[in-house]
Amino acid sequence: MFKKVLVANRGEIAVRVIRACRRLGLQTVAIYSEADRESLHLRLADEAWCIGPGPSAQSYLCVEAILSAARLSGAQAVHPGYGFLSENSRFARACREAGLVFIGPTEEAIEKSGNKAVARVLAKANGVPVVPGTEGAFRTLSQAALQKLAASIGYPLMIKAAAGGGGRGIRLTRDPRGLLTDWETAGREAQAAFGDGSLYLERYLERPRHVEIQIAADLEGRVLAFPERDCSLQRKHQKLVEESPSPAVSPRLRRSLQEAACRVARAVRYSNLGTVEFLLSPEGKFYFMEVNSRLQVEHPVTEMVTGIDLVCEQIRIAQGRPMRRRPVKILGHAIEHRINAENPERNFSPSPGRVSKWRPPAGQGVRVDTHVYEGYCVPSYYDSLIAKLICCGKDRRSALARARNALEEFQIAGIDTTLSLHRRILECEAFQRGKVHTGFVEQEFLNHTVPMDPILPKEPHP
Amino acid sequence: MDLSQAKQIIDFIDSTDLMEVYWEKGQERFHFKKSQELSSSGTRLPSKPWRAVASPAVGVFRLGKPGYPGCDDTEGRDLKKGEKLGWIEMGRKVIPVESPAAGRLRRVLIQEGEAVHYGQPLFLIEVPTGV
Repeated sequence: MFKKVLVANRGEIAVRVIRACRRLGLQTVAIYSEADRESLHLRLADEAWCIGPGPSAQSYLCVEAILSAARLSGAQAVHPGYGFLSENSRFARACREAGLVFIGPTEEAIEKSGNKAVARVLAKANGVPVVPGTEGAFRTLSQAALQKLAASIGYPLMIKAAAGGGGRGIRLTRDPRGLLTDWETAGREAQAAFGDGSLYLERYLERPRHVEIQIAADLEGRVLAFPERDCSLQRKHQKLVEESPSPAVSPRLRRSLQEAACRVARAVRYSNLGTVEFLLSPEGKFYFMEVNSRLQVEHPVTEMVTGIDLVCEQIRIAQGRPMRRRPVKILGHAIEHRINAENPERNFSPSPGRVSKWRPPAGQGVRVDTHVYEGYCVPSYYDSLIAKLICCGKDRRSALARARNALEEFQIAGIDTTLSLHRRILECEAFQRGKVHTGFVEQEFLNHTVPMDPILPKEPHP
Repeated sequence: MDLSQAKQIIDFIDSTDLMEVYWEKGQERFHFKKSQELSSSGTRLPSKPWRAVASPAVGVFRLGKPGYPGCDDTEGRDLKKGEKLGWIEMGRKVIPVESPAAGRLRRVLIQEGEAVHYGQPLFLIEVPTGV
């Protein structure tokens, strides 16, 4: 059983994982790029190795450098966090071949869940409802075949990259006229972002909610499903606010979602932590979307609402220990706000720089997961998440009240942040009543009519 | 301590990334703190330009590699620009360490077989002014 873990990530998640390791009495190794020399994670770890320059391709995405640091430090296991190499099956394989335990699913499970088209076929074959769409993905398709295919599925349509994620390589087409252009654009974007231009078509659901089920599976094949998270508040497919339980899910629907998630997990022979994402229509019908084969950004919502430390569970599973048998209970309500170093007034342009003032909120039911401290300089190389504020209470109303107070208390200066947008969201009546959908933020707060703006490639991030 | 000594110390500190230094010897005390603007502007140059040769990768330092004779790490010898000073083994990859400029090898900070970080200073070389 491993005793020393290398954390192959940066930012708040590296801090989070190091804390879990310490709780389990494991030694930790941090890795960092030159741009992260001031970062908190390398101060909390037992040792830290500088592995490369700022750009992630030469540091946090460089498998050779990470494995070299693992070898030199004597680490026996690697935790990939989220983003970067967390869903890269080649990295998982390279770890195994180097004699390291990869704290995540097997290579085969990552591959099956990572390919959206394969996951979709598997879900459908196992009786899990999917959004009407093509079976499998296409690299090339004649114009006539494309038009015929689109007509058989029905408009509006989503064009999606088979290897996609993070909102790239996605296009919304409302009628046959724009189909070909959108198809070609999405193909180019997918090729540039993932090195794979394969695409598939799917019916676009109007005003759906995004709900997802956290699962945990041990090495003996036992699968456990947690209560759902509702992540309907998004901007350009990037989640902003997540809560659990969902205001739109009844106990009966929850059981159906959990059963469906477990079926998908068994179909891909899943192990370790993962998330099965669904779209929920306003009529209460759900459709399988995809499997995320990693720890997710919003995992603290589930932790706060169930009292279970998911990262500790994840590490225990990787150590080969059997999973907990106690039933998972919903203890109240939890909500997470992702605070980004971005300017909402200027189209969310990143705002790196020195944090001159940092006063995070605290108190009962208030948790802040962050790597930032006063005087820290937010580097420009990576994604702009600087903190996650998670608040919980006995019910949704009290959780929201705590979140409102905490956001008011939160003071950050020196950089622009999305704090103001989160305050506005909480003031919004429709949100308070739980009446939202995935296009809601863009519609209500950003005055966009179509939520599918072209998305420029940026750092890979969930 | 006279003015020229103080200047030498300041120049030395400026050539590093140290932010603050206390120094005490007998009756003499010295406290140096870099202001943010100064450290980030980087416009001040030390009078004797010693440059660090940084490790190009995280791995194990080697003076030689199969098929190549070991590099000469005698302090005081002259170096050509791009001259090999050793290699870093990063897993299966072997990455050369090269002199960034022509000059004189002043200090060897590393030994054969030692583990090094990316960016770790391995050698100090003296580069003629104006290069």
